[in-house]
Amino acid sequence: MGGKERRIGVYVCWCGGNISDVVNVEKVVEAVKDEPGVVVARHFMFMCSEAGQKMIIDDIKKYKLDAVVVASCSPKLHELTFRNVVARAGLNPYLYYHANIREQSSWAHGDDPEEATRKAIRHVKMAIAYLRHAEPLEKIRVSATPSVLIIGGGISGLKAALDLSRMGINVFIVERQPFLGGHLARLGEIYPYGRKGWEIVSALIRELRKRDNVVIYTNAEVESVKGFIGNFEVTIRVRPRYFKKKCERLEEAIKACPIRIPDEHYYGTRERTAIIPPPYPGAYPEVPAIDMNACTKCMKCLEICKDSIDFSQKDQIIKLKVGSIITATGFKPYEPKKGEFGYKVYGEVITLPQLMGILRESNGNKLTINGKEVKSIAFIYCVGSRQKPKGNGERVNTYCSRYCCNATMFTAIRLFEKYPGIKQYHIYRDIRTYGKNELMYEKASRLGAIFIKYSEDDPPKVYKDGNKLIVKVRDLLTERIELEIPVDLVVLVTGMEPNENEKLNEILKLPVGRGGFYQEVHPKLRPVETTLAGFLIAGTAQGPKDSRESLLSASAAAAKAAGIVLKGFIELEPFVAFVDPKKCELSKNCMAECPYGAISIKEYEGIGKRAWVNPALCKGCGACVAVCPTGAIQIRGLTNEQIEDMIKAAAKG
Amino acid sequence: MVKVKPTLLDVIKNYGAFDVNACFSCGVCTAICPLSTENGEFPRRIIRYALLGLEDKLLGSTELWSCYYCGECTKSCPRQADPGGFMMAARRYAITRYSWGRVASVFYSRIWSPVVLAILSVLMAVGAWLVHGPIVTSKVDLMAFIPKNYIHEGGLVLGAFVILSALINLVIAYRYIRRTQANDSPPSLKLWVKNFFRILIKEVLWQNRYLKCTNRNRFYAHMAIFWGFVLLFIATGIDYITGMRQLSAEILGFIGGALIIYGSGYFIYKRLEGREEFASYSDFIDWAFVWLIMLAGITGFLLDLFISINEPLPAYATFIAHLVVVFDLLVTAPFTKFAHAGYRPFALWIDSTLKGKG
Repeated sequence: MGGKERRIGVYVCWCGGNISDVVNVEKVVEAVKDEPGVVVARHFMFMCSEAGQKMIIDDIKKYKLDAVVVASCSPKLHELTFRNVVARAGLNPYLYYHANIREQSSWAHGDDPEEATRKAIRHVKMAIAYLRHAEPLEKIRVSATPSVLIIGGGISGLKAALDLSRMGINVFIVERQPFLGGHLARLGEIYPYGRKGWEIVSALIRELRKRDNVVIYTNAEVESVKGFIGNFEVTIRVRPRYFKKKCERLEEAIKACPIRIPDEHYYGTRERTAIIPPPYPGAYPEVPAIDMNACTKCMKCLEICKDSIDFSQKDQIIKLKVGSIITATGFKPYEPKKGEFGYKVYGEVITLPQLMGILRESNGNKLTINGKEVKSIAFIYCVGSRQKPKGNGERVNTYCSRYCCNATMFTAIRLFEKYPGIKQYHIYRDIRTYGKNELMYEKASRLGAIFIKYSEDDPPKVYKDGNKLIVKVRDLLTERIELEIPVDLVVLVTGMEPNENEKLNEILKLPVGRGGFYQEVHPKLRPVETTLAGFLIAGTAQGPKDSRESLLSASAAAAKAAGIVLKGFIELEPFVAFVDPKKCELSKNCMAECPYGAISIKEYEGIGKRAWVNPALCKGCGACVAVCPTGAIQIRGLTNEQIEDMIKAAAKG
Repeated sequence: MVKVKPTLLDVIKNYGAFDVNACFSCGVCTAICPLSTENGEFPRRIIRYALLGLEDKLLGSTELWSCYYCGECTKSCPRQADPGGFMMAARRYAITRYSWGRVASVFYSRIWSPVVLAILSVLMAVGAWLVHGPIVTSKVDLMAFIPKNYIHEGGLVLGAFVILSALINLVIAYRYIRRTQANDSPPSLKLWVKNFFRILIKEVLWQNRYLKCTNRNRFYAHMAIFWGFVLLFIATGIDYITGMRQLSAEILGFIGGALIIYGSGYFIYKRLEGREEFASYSDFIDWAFVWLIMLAGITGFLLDLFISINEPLPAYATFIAHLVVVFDLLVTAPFTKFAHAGYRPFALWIDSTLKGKG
């Protein structure tokens, strides 16, 4: 470096007239053609055109150029194009500099062509200064472990696992609950076709169990994640289920258990014991589990299932190596506060998931709640969704939960079909049955659902008049009449909230968006990737989705994960920090500053222990460069020398 | 605050309005309606009352009678909710609720309505047979066949019953309307009187709003029935007062009979065809109403015919048939579709007066 003179070619682009209408391209060429190192300087109508690209390649061969500047548009648009052009001509693609004289000169200073031209000249001179000290660089290549960790064994996790498994990738599923399935497994018939939620889940599980490259851990949580994209080391903790195998007298054991607590599987509409049997047909594992948080160790079950139960089981720690991690930890249904629309004050106020749980179990031609026949139902929509900020900093859910209007409409239709005599009042803010789901709204309406729109500033009130439950709401579609609707049941249409993942969030440090869900890089262009390389998100962990949308995102995440691990290696841009061990005095300032934990201490042969940058972890942010007292740490492709020269070139004009 | 009556819509649906649940309150019906006004907006608002179960609001809406069922709303409804059909069903429902003792419910029941009409017809026929005098066969002598005092006294009793029933029903309707249209300054007597005559001339004798709503043929047919009844009423009056057949009454009766046969014929034809919205759905009693009008006309003409060609026995039989038809028509008038002749102008009258329009 420094010793060798670069032979630089400079190409100024007109960009049709985008640049040349303002910037005097001839003057730019004239001003830089005699700069030290410049062998040839030209201007052309469209440098990115085939003719322009050929011109560069021909010049490289003819003048034996070893570095190229193109002064044209934003590097976002064509930097890669021209790096490929110089590579095709046999040069190192990093001996190229892209000067932006369109966005930064002609477009920004269209009113002052002279100054725009002067600024363009400075840009090109800076580019020349950069290249004078540029070194050939190589992309960083790291190997990738051909396996993927999926956190969460709900519908999204299972779908991603199946997709990856079919691509020949080893999959590990880690599920916090004792059984796979997540929320969908708790639901009976769901929209749009009325297939049961647990049927969809068990179909996926059946497929997964046929695969020999899928490992499932239930009752398990991630303890730590180390490493970087392609090479993660994951530790998981598997809690015991205290059942070694199935027990033939399980029913008896369950009866013997003295514990009775609300059963999450039915959203609390039923009770369970401390023994959790497989909660739905086709559930995995098939072996029951004991809920130690509820168990009193009375040992009554042990007497019945002696051979199956083993209370001596301990936590297991398992270490995994994976190339990518998909987080599909799902959601938590919004739990209304006590007194919110009479919830937990009146027994006849329940949530939509609870109603779905009740409908799953109800037979006959009467719907009963607390032993009373239901003849009219009021659904109150947007409970826990689209909340207005309170102004006191308390977190509210400002987003729409997407699935609830559709699910309610589907439930309404099922109710009409099963119990045509029940009157249904749908008290909504806006009906958002998007896409094909609109047909369900129409059907429910024709079947007799009465829709009453309420204003968020004047929400409905639920109270009791004697024995009768009343919903009071102002109807916006008449002369704002305040209606008193006598009903037998109030169903709160509750939305989705981010799952409780405090521990996992500390471990993974995935970026979290405003609603508390995991945040993608870009909602359209990179919808399942996170800013952390190698970490993908799927399903409702990312935000409210229905099952169809969750499955879509799961397949997308699986495809992205496969893209990372299938090649066997990962190529990263070379602009990362490196240490000159001769200059390093081991102040360790850089280690303290690095936000990615990329710097460690390494033994250099003949020099001793000095700082070392793991290129796979470094993002090239430059924080270490700023704090190094001896200038030992620098960014490749953006060395101090290059930056200083560019500044000088700019200042000289 | 208004208490919701969840069963209201179910009851109205007994009288039509089968698709009204599809309504999503967009208001196209109201926008397109040639009769809806800013102060009397319908059908959307009235449909909303029914959907929500606001019984008093619905029954207190004079808009029920501002609607003449032209069918424009039904044609333009984006949800095929048939707002015009709903308004018709709501009027049927209102007729049952406005009637004393809710007697009209009987006539709007698909089972009881034919039974009761049959019983009334038989009673009338048997009654006429029981009181008949000498059957003169040499010439037609109706006065001898049914002595005049029976016609006279029977007519008085029937008339009193019909008028009294109609008045009671109007009072009930008025009370429903008044409950929802409370205004602080009661209108002056002068306005009441002025509007009475305005409505009588513009909306009863000429039926101006009807013309705004519909095609001319329907207007002519409706006018024919109305004026046919008026002429027949005058003709009967002349006969009754003078006690003998007058030429003037002959001519008036002939024209009146022709008019009601033409008018009812038009409506029967339209109902059979069932293509136009207003004729798309009819309850039994709606059918009975148009047929009774038609039969009244036909039996009247036949009676005239048999008198003129001097056929005593057919004349007496036709006379009894005529009496039965006219009796059925009149005795049920305050409780059937016929009642619109009272409610409609009445509602227009009190609505415009309560709203202070002159």
